Amino acid sequence: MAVDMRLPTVKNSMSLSVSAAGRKDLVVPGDVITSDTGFMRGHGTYVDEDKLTASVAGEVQRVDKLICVRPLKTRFNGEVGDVVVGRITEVQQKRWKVETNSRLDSVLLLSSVNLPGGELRRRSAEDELTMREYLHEGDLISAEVQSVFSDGALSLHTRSLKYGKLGQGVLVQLSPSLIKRQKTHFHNLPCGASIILGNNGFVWLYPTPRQQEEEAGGFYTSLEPVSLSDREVISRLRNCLLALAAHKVLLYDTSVLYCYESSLQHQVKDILKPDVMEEIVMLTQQKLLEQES
Amino acid sequence: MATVQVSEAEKVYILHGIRDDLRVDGRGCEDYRHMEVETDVVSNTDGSAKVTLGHTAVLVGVKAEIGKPKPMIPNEGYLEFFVDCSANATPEFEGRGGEELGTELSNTLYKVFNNQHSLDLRSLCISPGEHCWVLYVDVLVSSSLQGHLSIT
Repeated sequence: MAVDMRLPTVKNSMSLSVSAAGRKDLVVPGDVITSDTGFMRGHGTYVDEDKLTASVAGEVQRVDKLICVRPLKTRFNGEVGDVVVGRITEVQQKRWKVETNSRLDSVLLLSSVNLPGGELRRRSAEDELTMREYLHEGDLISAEVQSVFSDGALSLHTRSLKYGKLGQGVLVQLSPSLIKRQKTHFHNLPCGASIILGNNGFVWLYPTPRQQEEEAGGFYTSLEPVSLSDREVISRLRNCLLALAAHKVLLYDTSVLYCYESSLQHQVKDILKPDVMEEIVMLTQQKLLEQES
Repeated sequence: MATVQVSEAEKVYILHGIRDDLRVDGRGCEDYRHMEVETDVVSNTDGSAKVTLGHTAVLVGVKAEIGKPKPMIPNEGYLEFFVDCSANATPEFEGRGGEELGTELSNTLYKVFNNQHSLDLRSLCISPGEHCWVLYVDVLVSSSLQGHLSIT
């Protein structure tokens, strides 16, 4: 059993390639944004002696007369239409509480899930009693944000066959600000695994299902052993995601795929080492820049 | 220790993987995570080391002082251990939360070093029955993931 040990080295900060499309206006808490009193203050700011100061670390956004600071590291602030991956924390009367890395637990109402067999009927008392058979504490689901309550809690729904209970796979928990907003968050990667990039920072990696199950809708979870090759692909993707997150690279299907391809020369477990991580992320960023230009 | 919630399917996935000697992060069952060792970090000790393994970071300092040997064993020196699970590691160690784990680890260290094969205690003797070296070993657990320690 070989153990790899090394002395700590001074980390060289990676040279950031500054894109020509304008430098971002980054502030830290306490930084004065402007002394002009004509602006309205939005989220993340406060007034200190007639000066507008930032209260969070992030990027300044100016919309006409409104100034707000969007924090770089924050809990998930959901909007209608976001795809999330969440874990059931409680089973209550007619609804489930779901943990989605937001300030409050999200809510999944019984009326917002698809019943087995795709029936459309009124939920009866019996449905309430069998809620636990469908989703119980600890289960993972993929869902969409239906609405936002006045206190900020999200109301989710799984009213589509692509949402529902998740089966075998790996969950990676990252910061929500690293996930890029795209048209679709469900991808079947060509390397042999599938990925769900939840807007809340939870990324779900799972083996691509052999045949598209139309009837399932997330009710039946297969407990068949996953093949070793699929497992290695999923482990490699997981390590690539952690490497990209450690270097604050925006995550979307292309960046994850490029990182996967750049990592093929190393063993899966080596990707966790800091120097290998840096090398892979630099290659990925180069490829992304080439693709953009 | 905090518990991690996993679904049934995730549990099955992990167990099947271990059966094939493949953990979720691609390591084999007997592979270690990335480890970093740094020595001579604390200047006012006679010896110190800092070890980082995964999310756990442990700082150890050793001070040597001259003391009186134990009456039962006059020709040997001895070691004194103190393990401090600091609140920096996890909020559960706040206040006296980390004391239980700290005493448990100290007792384990006493047992480990209390025999001839781990350390020759006779080499710590200066003059039998009168003077000997006492090594005070202080361990500080400075970071851990929700109370799980990977370094023993």
